[in-house]
Formats: sequence, structure tokens, C-alpha cells
Amino acid sequence: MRIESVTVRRFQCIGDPGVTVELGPGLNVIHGPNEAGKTTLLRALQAGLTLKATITGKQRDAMAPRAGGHPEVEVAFDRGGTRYELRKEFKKQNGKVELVLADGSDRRTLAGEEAEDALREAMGVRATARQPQRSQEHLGIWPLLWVEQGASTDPPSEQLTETAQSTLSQRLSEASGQVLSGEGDEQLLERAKERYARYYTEAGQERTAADSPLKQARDRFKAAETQLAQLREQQRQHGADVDEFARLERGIADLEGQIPELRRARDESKTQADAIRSLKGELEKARQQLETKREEAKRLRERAKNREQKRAALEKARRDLEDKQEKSDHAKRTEQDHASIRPTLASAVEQAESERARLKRQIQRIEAHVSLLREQGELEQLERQLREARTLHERIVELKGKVEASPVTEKRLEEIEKLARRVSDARVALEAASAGIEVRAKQGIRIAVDGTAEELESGARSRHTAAEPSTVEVGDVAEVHVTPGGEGLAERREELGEAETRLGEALERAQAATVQEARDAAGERRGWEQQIATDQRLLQTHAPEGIERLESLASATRSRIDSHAAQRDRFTQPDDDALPEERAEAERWRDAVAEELESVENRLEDERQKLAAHDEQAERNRSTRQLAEQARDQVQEDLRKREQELEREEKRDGTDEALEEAAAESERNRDEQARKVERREAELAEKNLEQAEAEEERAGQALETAQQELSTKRGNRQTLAERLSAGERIGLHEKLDATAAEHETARSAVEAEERRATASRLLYETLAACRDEARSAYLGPLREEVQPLLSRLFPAASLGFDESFQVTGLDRPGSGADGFHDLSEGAREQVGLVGRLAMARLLARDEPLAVMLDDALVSTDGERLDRMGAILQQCARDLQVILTTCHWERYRRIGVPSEQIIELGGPA
Amino acid sequence: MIRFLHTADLQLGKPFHGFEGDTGAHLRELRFAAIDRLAEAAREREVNFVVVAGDLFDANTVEDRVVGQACERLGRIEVPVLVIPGNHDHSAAPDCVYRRKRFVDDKPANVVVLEEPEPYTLPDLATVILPAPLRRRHEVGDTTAHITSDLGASEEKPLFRVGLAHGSVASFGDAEQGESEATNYVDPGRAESAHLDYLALGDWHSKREVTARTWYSGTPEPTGFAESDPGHALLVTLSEPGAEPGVEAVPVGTARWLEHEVELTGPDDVERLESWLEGIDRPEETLLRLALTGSLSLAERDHLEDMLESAEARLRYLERAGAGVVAAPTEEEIDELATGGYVKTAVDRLRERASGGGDEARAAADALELLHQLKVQDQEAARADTKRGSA
Repeated sequence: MRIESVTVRRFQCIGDPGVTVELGPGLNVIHGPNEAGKTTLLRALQAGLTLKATITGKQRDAMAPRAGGHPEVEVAFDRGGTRYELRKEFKKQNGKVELVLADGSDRRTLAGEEAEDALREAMGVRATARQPQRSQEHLGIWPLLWVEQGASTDPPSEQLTETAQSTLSQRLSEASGQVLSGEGDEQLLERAKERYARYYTEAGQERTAADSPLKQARDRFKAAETQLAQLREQQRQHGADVDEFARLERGIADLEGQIPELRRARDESKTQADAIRSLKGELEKARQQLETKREEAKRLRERAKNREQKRAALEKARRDLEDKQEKSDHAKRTEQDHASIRPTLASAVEQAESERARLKRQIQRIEAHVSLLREQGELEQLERQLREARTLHERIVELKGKVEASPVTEKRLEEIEKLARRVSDARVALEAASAGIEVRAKQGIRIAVDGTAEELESGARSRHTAAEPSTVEVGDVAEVHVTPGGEGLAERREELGEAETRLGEALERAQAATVQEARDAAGERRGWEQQIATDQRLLQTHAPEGIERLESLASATRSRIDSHAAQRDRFTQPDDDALPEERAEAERWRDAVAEELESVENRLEDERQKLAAHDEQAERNRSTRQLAEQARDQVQEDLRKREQELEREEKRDGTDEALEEAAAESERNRDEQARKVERREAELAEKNLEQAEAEEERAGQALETAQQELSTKRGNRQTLAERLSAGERIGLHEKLDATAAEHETARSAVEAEERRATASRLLYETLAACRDEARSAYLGPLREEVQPLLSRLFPAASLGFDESFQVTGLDRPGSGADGFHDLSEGAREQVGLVGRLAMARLLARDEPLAVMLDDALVSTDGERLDRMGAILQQCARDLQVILTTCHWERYRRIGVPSEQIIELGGPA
Repeated sequence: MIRFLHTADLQLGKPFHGFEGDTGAHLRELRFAAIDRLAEAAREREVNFVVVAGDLFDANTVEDRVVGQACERLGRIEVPVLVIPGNHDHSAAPDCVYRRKRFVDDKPANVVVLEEPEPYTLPDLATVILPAPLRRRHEVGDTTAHITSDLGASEEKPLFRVGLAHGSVASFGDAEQGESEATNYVDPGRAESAHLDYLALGDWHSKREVTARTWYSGTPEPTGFAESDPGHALLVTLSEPGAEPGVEAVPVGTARWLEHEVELTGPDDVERLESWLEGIDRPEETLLRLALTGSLSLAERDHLEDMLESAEARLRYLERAGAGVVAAPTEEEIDELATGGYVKTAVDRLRERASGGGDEARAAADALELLHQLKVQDQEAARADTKRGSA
């Protein structure tokens, strides 16, 4: 297929009058700024070739021109020698299509469905899929060849529809003569792999997981083997026990036969040894007797010698006693002489002691006397104080009594004074209201006022007040009746009367006739109280702790006086001088006696020391005498003992001559016994006791060993018999049989599993190896297409594909293999494009194909772009390549014929 | 005239654990049933007594249950049963089954265990039994050495002299190993030298005549595939002391142990094997050890497998022995496995390897067979899918 021209009107951003592009074979470059309509042009071209004119829905809506109207696409292309002139107007349901087919001079015009069918057939596409998600599938091989803007970095297999894939497979099979796989082969391989995976890991190691049948079989075998070994051991043990039992039985029988002979041998050897031992015993006895006799001879000889020595010693002791007696007598005399002067010394001490006693008594007597005198002085003082205190006390009591008895207390006095003032006030008030009566006598006259007469001398005056009608008799001359006429006189009079009555009552209570009297009495009372206070202060001075205390002090003093007197009298003797009554005199006397006492005491000390010295000497003399006596007594005792001993010995051993004779006799006996011992020794020397005893011991041990062995064996037999008859091993042979069977079964199971494992491995590995080889051969032609293109980009690199044409990796010398997605964006773009171009070339072996690259090299740098340019040029020999770009300058160097460089203007 | 049954090697309590399913239990039970059959024969043939020439029990360690059942069954024999211990139930061990409490308590009155090598007289029958009991599993030397013409001989009247021993009349292999003395040896000339009317032997499981007076009865119930003529008891008739005995085999066994070896190379062989298998008498009591070799196509192998499975179900027991039949797929089968593609290549390679020899060839054949299985699985899965789809 080769596209010759495209005209687009009213399609997205392309408006009227539209764009027409003439395309040549090989590489065509459509360039222009952004939004010039490059992509739109390609889309319109694709829409014209693959979409029905009557299309509706989203795809139709996407075509909608901005300026309104209906999109229109005209395409002229050549396919298989036929020229197609296509004109489509996308008017939804009213869409129009016209297809002119020109084959040489033959020219047919088709329209409607007929035209669409013919077009689809020419393009190798199917009607639009109903399910949009499979939208690519109906487009056949074209998605592989038409690289949309922005899709350049996708792997080529992504745009590979099933149609494209099967077409490619077909082309590869034709080219390589290889059928990759038959029907179901992959599934078979998968199943073989599953089998393999039961036994082996990916790395080909035997699997040891619990679900591995081989492992299970081996485990089972191992368990059976272990159990079998255990049971066999038990069986072996059982056999060994039975054998051991039989061995023991034989051993016991043997021993039982041997023991009587051993016993006899032992008894015989014992008899022989006993005989020698008896002989040896006799010799021993004779030797002991010899020893005894030797000792006796020796003893008697010693005694004879002793007797002589003792006699000499006795003599010496007698002489010694005489000497000691003399010494003892001398000491006794010395002691007696010394003792005779002691009474004189003792009496001097006594005399001094007596003097000292006398003086001590005197001092005590005088001391008592002095104390007596002192206490007497004190007693007098106390008694004076006591008298004074008593007087004061009595007076206080008396005054307190008076105060108590006095009726005029301060309170009463106060009341009286108050009442007196009231009377006085009432009287003044009454007088003021009363009539004043004054009588002046012009001559002596007697007057009587209300019966009260008085004599008035001439010139005298008598004044009265009348509070009530009064009668004044003047002599016999006149009787004057006075009637006071003052206001409230009666009340005043009454008031006065009441006041006077109350005053009178108060005075009566105070036992006073008048107010003055009451006042005096109160004054007297105050004087007493003051006197009491004074006396009490005085009493405090004399008896601060009270009279009783004073009395008790005085009493104590008196009793002390009595005590001193008694003391003094106790120390007084009838002929004692009378004591002075003066205290100072007595004290002087006492001091003189004390001085005398001191002198006497000094003298007493001297005398005592003298006596002590004498006594010490006497003690020494006594000791000397006693020692001398003891020495004498000892010698005397020694002498006595020696005499007794000699006496005893004589009694025992006889006289000195008899003793000598006995010693000689004993020595003769001794010599006789020595000869007897010699004879016995000679007799024993012929026998060998050691040997006999060794034989005896050996025979005894042999018997004992045999008996012990028998006993041990019997014990062992018993134990073994018990163990064997305990029934522990009942059923053992059954278990053994069962386990042996299991062991055998498990062993064959292992064998079978191993065989299966080997078979699965061989099958899977063979299949996998064959598939790998087949794949390699099958993909050969694709590699051949890719290789020359790729080597322009990456010298010596190779690109791997799997059988579904996925790029498995780019292998470059020096940097190793990279997966497609591990490549950089630029490399992905380049490798992807190379892949597509290679596949396109394979597909285009019969017929050139149009490849559209919409801005497909945006991530490629300058140098690589040059190489890509060269690749595109190379491919353009078999393919028509339509390339859009907004960077024409980048492609300038590729070298495209000028008529195939189409420039689109600014925004359409 | 006296008449008695000679049997041996009942080996009661033999476990038979090597057999899957209930076969072991059945075989164990058959051994007890053999006693019943002996009892029946004893009654029918009116014998005077029964001798058991050793190995009444399989081991001294048999379960008490076995001992109890044995006593129960032995009690049903209506005449005396004279038993000697054999190498399986030898008597010297303290745990000897005949001294076990269970046996002592349960032993029926008619059973006499001759543990000592001393004559045992049956006075009413003018018969003396001269036993050679085994005290140990392996007795060194001739176990019947003590049986001389003097032993048990009577001054008064001639007696029937019946020897009873357990062991081997030939010292197999031992001589080659340089051992001068065989264990449990029985002098085959003993009957003659000791003036025995009959020497009843045990230990061999197959019936065998050693001399006219010396016989192995064999086991009354077969115990394995290697036995040539088991399943009998011997009915011995002695007309008068010194006369040659009359010996008649009485069948008492139940199970049949067959060994069959076949090489299969084509469909005819398979067919022949099939008819042989179908012709087996009393399959429910037959134990078959089938040793197959040869090679078959995959289809024939499948058929063989079906056939064997069927036989396995019918027989008491089928044991597959031998190297087995190798899979040798035919061209058609190969084509069926793979029409093209890499699987075909793989199949070709495996076939080539399988045509060689040794383990490698066998592994390749196994691999092909596995492939065949996987293919069949695939096809079956596909068929199932189709079915599901159509349903």
C-alpha cells in the first residue's frame, strides 16, 4: 500500500478549504509549527481508511470541525497494483462514501456499503468492534505501523493485535520453515513442568518441602529403616539373652561340678598349714619361757646388787639425821629468844592506844557540850521570836473580833450619810415652807412653844419654825397661834418624817445614836483594820513560816539539846573535870585536847611499826625453824623407810647370803631353757610355713572365686530368666515382620518415586530444550530484520524477542542485557521503533506498507536522531514512511527529496 | 497296627504383614483352620495319635491370643497330640512359649509337649515315641544323636518305635563355608540305625520322602511362594513293629501360592496372559506372584494395566515382580503425542534414548510414558471441557 494523496476538510482544527498533501514513496516528512494540523491530518487519513462514513457516537464526535459542517476526507492510494480513490463525508447516518478502483484501464466506482466493504478488504480491517475496549483488534496490523503521538516509547508488542501477531507468525514460519509448536504443546509443557515441580526446584535441585512425594517417600523409608533397626536390635538382644542364658546354664553346671574338688583341696592345704602353725606355736612358747627365765636371773642378780647399795645408803642417812637435828635445835632457840621481847613492845602500843581512846572520848564529850551550848543559844532566840509572834497573833485575833463585832460597816455608814443628807435636805425644804417664829424677849420671860417652855432673858431671842399650826405662849401674857401657810407643807413634813424614820432605822442598825457616832465607830473600825495589817506584817517577819513551824523548830532544837546532853553525859566519866559553861571557853578546850590527840596518835603509829617489825622477824624465825624441822623429819622418814625396806627385802629374799644363792640358781635355769629353744628352731627350719599358707590361701580363694562365680551366674540366670519370661518381647516377631514389610514397601515407593522424578525431569528438560531451540530458529528471520537496523544504533548489540514478539531485552556488549522497561526513554523510543520497523518489513515482504510516525522521536538526541534518520531511510526502500514533526531542521540532514517535504502553515 | 497323622511347621502366629489389606489376617487365620482340618482328618481316618514335628508356633514371642487359639483348636483333636519344640519355638529359653502361663493354663489334656529327649511311651498302643526336641534355635551337631537302638527298647515285647525330629537332613552350604558341623542336623540314616519304624521330620515346608521310613510332612498350610509341595499331612500306618510304613498324603491346605513369569512382546502375549489369569481356580484363595518383562505399545500397556487391576480385584493377592513391562510407543502413538512443533522433536529424542539400554533408556521410556499420560489427561480435560461446553 502506498498513499499518494490526502485531502482533509472540516476535520477538527482543519477547516475549509482544507489541506491537501501529495505523498511520494519512501520517506515523507510533514512539518509545521504546533497546531498546524499535522496530527489531525494523520488522524483524518486513518479515519478515512478505517472508519465508516456513517459512523456516529464518540468517534464521529471527535472528528467534529471547529467551524461546523461535516468532515470530509479524500485519499488516493495504491494497493496490489490497484489505485483506490476514496472520498468520505462523515455525516453520521447520512455519511457518504465513494470509492473508485482503477486497475489499469478498468475503472469501477463503488458507493455505500459496497464501497466500505471493498475498502476494508483492501485495508485488511474488520468492521468496528462492538466492544470499544477491543478497539484496536479490528484494525489488523495497522496499530503496529501507525505510531500515535506520545506512544513512541511503548513496546511494539503493545500495539500488536492478534491479527498482526498471527500474520507475523505466519511470515516467520514461512521464512524459517519452523513450526514453533503444535496444538496444545504449551499446555503439555506446562503439565510436564508441573510434574517436574513436584520433585525439583526451579534451580533443578531436588525439593525438600514436606509436600514433595520423593521427600515423603524417603522420610517414610527412613522411619521404617530406623524402626526396623530398633526392632532388629531388640531381636538381636533377645537372641543374645537366650544364648547368654544357655551359656550361664553350662557355666553353672561346670562350677557345680568343680566346687567339691576345690573344697577338698582347700581342706587338705589347711591341715598341712595347721601342723606347721602348731609347731611354730610351741617354739614361740619356749622362746617366751626363755625370756621369762632370763628376766628372772637378771632380776635376782640385780636384787643382790641392790641389797649392798641400800645398806651403804642407810648408814649415810643416819649421819645426815644427826646433822639435821642439830640445825633444828639451833633455830628453835633463836626463835624463843626473839619472842621474849615482844610483850614490852606490845604494852607500849597498848598504852598509846589507851591514851588515844581517852583523848578521843574527851573530844567527843567536849564536842557534844559545845553543840549543846550552841543549840541552847539558838533555842533562846527562837523562844523570843515565838513569844513576840504569839502576842501579835493574839492581838490580830482580838482586833479581827472587834472588826467583826462592829456594826458600822463602810456600807452602812455610806447609807447613813446618804439618809442624813436626805433628812437635812427635807428639813431645809420644810423650814423653807414653814413659818418662822422669832421671839425676842424684851424682858426675861418664859415662853412656851407648843407646850415647850423656855426662859428667855431680856434681849434673847428664840427662833422657831412652825410647820403646823403652833401655839406660842408668851408667859402668861400671850398666846400666839401660828398657822404656817407654806405650799406643800404637809408633804414636806411627811417627807421629813419618813427621812428621819429611815435614818433612825439605819442608825439603829448601826447601833449608833447619831450620825456622828456612826462616823466615829466606822473610823475606829478602820483603825483596827490598819492595826491588823501592821501586826500581820510583823508576824510575817517573826514567823515567816508560821508559828507552828517556829514551835516545831524550837521543839527540834530542844530535842537536839537533849541529845547533845545525853551524848556528853555518855562520854563523861566521874572523875572528869567540870566543863566550862562558856561556849568559847569550851571550844578552846576542845582544840587543846585535839592537839594532844594528834601527838598521841603519832606515838601510837611508831610503837605499832616497831611491833610489826618484831612480828615479821618472829615469822622468819618460825619459818627457819620449821624448815629445819622438816629437813630433819624428812631425813628421819627416809631413814625409817630404808630400814623398813631392807627389813621387807630380807623377809622376802632372805638374808644377803640366801639372795646370792638364789641368783646363781636362776642363771643356771636360764641357760638350760636357751638350749631347748635352739633344738626347736632347728626342727622348724625344715618346714616352709609360708609356702603352706600360700597354698592354703590359693585353694581357699579358688573355692571362694568359684562359689562367687556360681552365685553371680545363678543371680544372672535368675535375672535373665525373669526378663525373658516377663513377656516383654511377646509380639516382637510380629512387629518385626510388619516393619520389614513396611520397610520393603517404603523402599519400593522410594524407587518408584525416584523413577517418576527422573522421568519427569527428563521429560521436562527435553521438552524445554526442544522448545528453546525451536523458538530460537523460529525467531531467526525477525532477528535478521532487526539486526542491521539495530547495529546502526548500537553496534554489536542484539535484541531478544519471545514467541509473542515481546522485547525480552537489549543485550549490549559492555553493559549486559537490559529489559525493555529498564531502558531510558530515548532508548525505548529508538528500540521500539526499530522493532516496529523490523516487524513492518517482515509484514511488507509482499507489498509495501504505509508507516505513520506522529512525532515519534521526541526523546531522541541529535546523534541518535541522525542514526534513526539513516534507519528510516533504509526502511523507506520497502515501506512508505509518513513522519510528522515540528522540528524539521532536525531531519534536514536525513536527505529527503524536496517534493516529499510538506510544510503545513500556521494554525489552520 | 497303629495309624497316626504326621504334621509339622504349623507356625501359628506367622504374621504375614507384607500383604496389603486383610490378606495378612486371612493367612493368619488359615493356619488355625489347618488344625481343624487335621482334626477332621484324624477323625475320618481313625488315627491313634498325631505327631507335630516342631514349629507348632512361629516364635516363642507370639501373642497370647495365638497361644490361646492354638490350645482351643488343638483340644478339638480327639486323640493325643505329641509335640516337639522346633527351631521357631525351641525350648531352652526361659520365655519358651510352652512354659508360658497362657499355654500352661490353656493346654488341652490331649496335648503332650516333649521337651526332653527322653522316650515317651503310649502303653495302650505298644508305641514309644523317641523325640529330638530342639532346645536352641541352632543346635550344633546331629539332634538325633541320642536316639540309638537301645533308647526306649523294651525287654518284654516289641514296640512301635516312632522318632520325632526337627531339622535338616543335609548340611546346606555349611560345608562350603568350611564349617564342619551343620546346625539342627538330622542324620538321614537315623531311622535305620536306631531301628525306628518311622522318623517324622519337620522344618521343610514341602512334603518330602527322605527314605522309606523318614519323611518330611511339609507344612499343612502353605506359607510362601517358594514351597514346592506344601499343604499336606501324612497319614502313617504301621502294621507291626519293623514293617515298612504306609505313608499317604492327606491334603489339608487352603491357600495357593502361585509364581508366574511371562515375557510380553505383543498383543498375543497379553491375550494369553489374560486367559491364564481368568483360568485360575479358586482365585479368592490364590496368592499370585507375577513377574512380567518385555515391552508393549502404550495402548497395550494400558490394556495390560486394566487387566492386572481386574486380576488384583479377583485374587486374594497379586504381587508384581520382575523388571516390569517397558513402554514402547508405536509410530502412530508417537504421532498422536505430537504432530509437529517442539514436542515432536522432544518425543523423537526420547525415543532414540529409549531404544538404547540401561537406566537411561528406561528413564527415557518412563518419560515418554509420562508424556503419554499427560497427553491423555489433557485430552480428557479437553473432552470434559467440550462436554461442559455442549451441555
